Amino acid sequence: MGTYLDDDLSEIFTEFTLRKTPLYFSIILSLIGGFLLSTNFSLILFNLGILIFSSILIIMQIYRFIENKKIIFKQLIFGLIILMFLYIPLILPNQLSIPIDNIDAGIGKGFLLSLFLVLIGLFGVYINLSNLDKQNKKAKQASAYLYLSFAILTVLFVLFLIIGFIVYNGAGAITWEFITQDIQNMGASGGVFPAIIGTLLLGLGTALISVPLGVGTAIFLKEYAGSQSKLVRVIRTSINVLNATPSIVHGLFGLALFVPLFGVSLLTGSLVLGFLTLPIIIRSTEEALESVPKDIRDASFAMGATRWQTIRNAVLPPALPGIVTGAVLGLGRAFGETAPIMFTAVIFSGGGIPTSVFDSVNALSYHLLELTRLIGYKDVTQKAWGTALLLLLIVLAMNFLGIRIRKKYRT
Amino acid sequence: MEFETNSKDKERKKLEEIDPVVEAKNISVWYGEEKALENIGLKVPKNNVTAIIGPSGCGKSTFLRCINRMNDLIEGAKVEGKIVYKDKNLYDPDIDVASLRRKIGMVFQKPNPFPKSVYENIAYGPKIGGMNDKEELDEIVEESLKDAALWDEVKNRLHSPAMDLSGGQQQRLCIARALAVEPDVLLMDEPASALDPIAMSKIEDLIYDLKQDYTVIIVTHNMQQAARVSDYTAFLFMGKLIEHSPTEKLFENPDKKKTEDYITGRFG
Ligand SMILES: Nc1ncnc2c1ncn2[C@@H]1O[C@H](COP(=O)(O)OP(=O)(O)OP(=O)(O)O)[C@@H](O)[C@H]1O
Ligand SMILES: [Mg+2]
Repeated sequence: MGTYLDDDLSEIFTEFTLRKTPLYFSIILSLIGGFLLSTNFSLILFNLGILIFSSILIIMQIYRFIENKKIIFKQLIFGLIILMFLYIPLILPNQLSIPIDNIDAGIGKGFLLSLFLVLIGLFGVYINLSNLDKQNKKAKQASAYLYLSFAILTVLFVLFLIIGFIVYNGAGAITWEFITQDIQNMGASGGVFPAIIGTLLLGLGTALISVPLGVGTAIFLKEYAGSQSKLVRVIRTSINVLNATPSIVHGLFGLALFVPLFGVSLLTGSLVLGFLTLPIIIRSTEEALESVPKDIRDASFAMGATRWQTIRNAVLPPALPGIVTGAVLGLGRAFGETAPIMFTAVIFSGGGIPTSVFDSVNALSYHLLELTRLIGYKDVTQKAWGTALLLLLIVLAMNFLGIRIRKKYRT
Repeated sequence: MEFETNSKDKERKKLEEIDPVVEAKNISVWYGEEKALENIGLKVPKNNVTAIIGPSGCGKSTFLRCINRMNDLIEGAKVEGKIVYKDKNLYDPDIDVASLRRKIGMVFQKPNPFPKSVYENIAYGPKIGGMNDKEELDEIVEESLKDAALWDEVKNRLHSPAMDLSGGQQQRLCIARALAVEPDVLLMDEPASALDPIAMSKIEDLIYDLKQDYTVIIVTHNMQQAARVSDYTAFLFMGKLIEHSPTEKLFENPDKKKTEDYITGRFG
């Protein structure tokens, strides 16, 4: 598989360099030019985008060109049109000689232009992909491979950008005091200790509610209920609805239902977050169960195991890594949510360390929201970045924990 | 075509004279509206190997699955008729299916070890049955692996993953796993079809040895194999039992024209 791809690609690239079709060469040059000459960040990103999509396009064009000389004329025209558009970035900097201080003019024009270019690129890709079967295998293979690698690179790039940004801005704020001290002066001084504890407790509460319920529901749906039964369909639909419900609605639901019972408290917040993460956990557990081959179940049944013994001993162990991944994803989401706990678990930054589940708590996500509201009134920017970084670290730690558990159960 | 049979063993009893361990009476199976088996009646003699042959889709696996009620697990499958085992109809409502399956074990076409260690694979059945004694389990594991002619190859890697074994070893592991619960009857659905000739002949030798202690029913597409390992052979065709006789008779002098056509490769 791997070598197949590599062979194909190297062949493509030799073909490409051999032909060096001036047309496509100049397209690339224009793109690179546009990329280098762009003066602001969004423009660079967008040009990068179009560079990516256009390269796919170009490779496919080359292949069509090689494949079928008859359409050469059409291709030339098509290429020229693209070329015309792609030259725009080259001209762009001259037109936008307005100083960047004047944010409105500078970005507005460049942004639209770049967007336009990307749309053309996408359109080109769409045209190419929409009549895939007319193209030869190699072109498909090559463009798919190229597309996939660019997609993953883009994702990684953005990911690192975000993480890098947060770390860069937040690292300075994180000190021992920041982690261990109480929130003072609405967060402008002191630390975030209660928020850390609150987030962890809410996470724990959420897990205690959503993991047993979610895993149990998934096992019932997949292993016990017949796939055709009405009940299953009703439950599935409800889960989908639950999943599509905006988190603020979950919060309001908690406010209406649980707050009268348990007050604004750790318990209420955990319940709301628990229900919020339930669909994620059910889905991922179902997928994990589904990934266990039928063979293995049959083997277990044929050994005289009952249904529950089969689930417990043959199905759950190999499904566990998937279930843990789902739980970690779900909890990661719970850690980050602010809207659902806003009315149900936290009372402004006043919440200290809870002494029972009926006490209100604070949470990093909520504290971050409060801090951003204060920006401009108090000196809290660095504290806000620090809080964001802490939240990120907690979620990261969760993921590592998940990996550890997966490793442990894999053997 | 010549078939090499193991007739050197003994003069085989006529089927009418034997006292069967398992007897199918008027077994019919439907998958939804589709009828897969029709009125199968078959006597399976004790401590013998019975082969079931027939073209693809004729219902061999379906029949095998009736005997340990694995068809129960298939949505839409309906079984009619009786399977008599130790004077009881296996389809009686008071039958405990789980313990029935411990008495009538099964080996599948594709090796399907659990993603656990070699040891845990073998210990699975006994543990399910409630055995927890470490020493006893060790003994069972060793015995079963020896019975399945796998002990020497895995005795130093009992705790490494079963998935790391070769295909042939995995299949013998599955046989050992089935033996670990000490069944009376062993059902084998094309147990050697995914294997190379050497692994296949190992499994065949094994089946031959197993009949000292077990009754084996084996489904196979390979007629040489059926001739080599079995004492009795049943020929199924389109859901019906066409012929059932001692193996050498069925291969050398079949009663039915269809049987002859099939074993000489004129169709199917
Ligand atoms: N789970 C199922 N659902 C619906 N129909 C089935 C199912 N299993 C088998 N059948 C049908 O029942 C008939 C008999 O199938 P069976 O698997 O018993 O054949 P077989 O003799 O074992 O064939 P092969 O030699 O290819 O394994 C076939 O027509 C098949 O399509
Ligand atoms: Mg079959």
